[in-house]
Amino acid sequence: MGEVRARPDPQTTTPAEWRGYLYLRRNTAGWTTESWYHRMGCRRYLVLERDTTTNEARLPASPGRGREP
Amino acid sequence: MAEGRRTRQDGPARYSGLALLRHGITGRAWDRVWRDRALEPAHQVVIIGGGVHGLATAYYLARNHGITDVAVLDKGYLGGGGSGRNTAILRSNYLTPEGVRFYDRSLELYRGLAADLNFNVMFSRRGHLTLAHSDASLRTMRWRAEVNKASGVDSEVIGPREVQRLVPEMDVTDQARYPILGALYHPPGGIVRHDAVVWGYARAADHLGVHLHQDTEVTGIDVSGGRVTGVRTTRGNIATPIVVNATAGWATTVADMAGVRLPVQTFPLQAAVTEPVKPFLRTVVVSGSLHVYVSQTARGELVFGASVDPFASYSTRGSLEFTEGLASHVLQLMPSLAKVRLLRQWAGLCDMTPDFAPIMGATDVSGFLVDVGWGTYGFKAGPVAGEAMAECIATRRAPEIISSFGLDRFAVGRLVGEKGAAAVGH
Repeated sequence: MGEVRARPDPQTTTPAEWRGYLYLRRNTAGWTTESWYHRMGCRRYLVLERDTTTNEARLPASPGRGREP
Repeated sequence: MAEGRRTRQDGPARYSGLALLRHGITGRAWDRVWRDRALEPAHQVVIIGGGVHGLATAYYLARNHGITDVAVLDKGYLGGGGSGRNTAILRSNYLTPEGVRFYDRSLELYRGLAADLNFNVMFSRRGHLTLAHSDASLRTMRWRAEVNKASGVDSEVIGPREVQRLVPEMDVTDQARYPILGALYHPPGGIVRHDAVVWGYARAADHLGVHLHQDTEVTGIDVSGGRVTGVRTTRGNIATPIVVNATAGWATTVADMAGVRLPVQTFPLQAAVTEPVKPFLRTVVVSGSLHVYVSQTARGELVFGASVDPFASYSTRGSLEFTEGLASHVLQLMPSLAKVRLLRQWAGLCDMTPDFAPIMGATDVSGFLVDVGWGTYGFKAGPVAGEAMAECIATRRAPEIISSFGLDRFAVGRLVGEKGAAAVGH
């Protein structure tokens, strides 16, 4: 599901802020926190840390449930 | 003109049949294609990224606009990124009128590039087939053909029998897992030698006075009062009012230095090549449904490409999953290739945008221009992107041909609808 990012409140957000949420990503080269969907297994959303230059993955210090998109 | 004896001030010796013969007889070494220079403390324009886009921008700045105080910086070697990792396919049969017009200008420049640069880029017009395996994709292809024809681009929907006439090795029976219902045939499409394009632009730009710096990584961009004032590199600092970001997969890391955010995500795209075989495949074959494209190089190797990997990454390691999937897809199209062996595989980094169209021109930071978001279609656009960026720098406004590719389109929600033709269609 990609990078974990905060979803602005649709009631109070501005169009520019909402489009930033839709389109902008940090696209970090290095360790980043992501939401993944375990499609072929438990079908749960989970949060993972991954180094995008090596694809090494690890559980974050405080593992949590990912969020549906 | 004493070939080979001319000093560098006169420019390099012209390449010609006669020069080849003379070098062959005398055994005299060829000149270096471009010079290594000391890093100057100031330039009128600094271009980050020494690939086809950066070099073409530098070349057209010098040739079309007389701006020669230009430096091109690359953290590795020229053409070591996407420019040397793509599958070198050229076409202009896009879906949107702005896409068609843009890529057709690029094809036109590619056709004349060898003469223009005095460097053989081995452009080879092959004809380009995009296969349709479903009624839905056949409908999209009719749509694309009509948009293409309205812009004067040669493009036609053909049936399976005509596909087989063009590529006898293709399985066009209805026994295939994904039967071929037809194809979009685009005769002007073809292939080119991608390294030669990079070297040709580099040589021509160097000849016109552009400074090319390899092994020179940009570590920071100085911005003061909303304007670019210079770049910091691993070899020293350069003061400049204009910086162009042409770094493809690394686009956001460079834009971050200037404080500009881009709607770009980096995905690897893997490709592979087989051992050389006797020439049999004249046309470029693409299947969007099977996520594969195939062409045969002048050396006889078959070049295979695919769609981007399923998740964002900066890793260029190949995966076995990819090779297995690719092989099965290629064999579904051409079962007779079963015994052909793969020689090598590699990956390149694609800077994907949400609307599968590039981002070109000015940003909120004055003097910081971008030529990014080239995803999986950057190589074929190299010449026209360079020409347009050069004009954008020289005239300080975006030329009409790139007017729909501005960064501001994401903030106002005016995206380009190129998804259908650009996602896998090479």
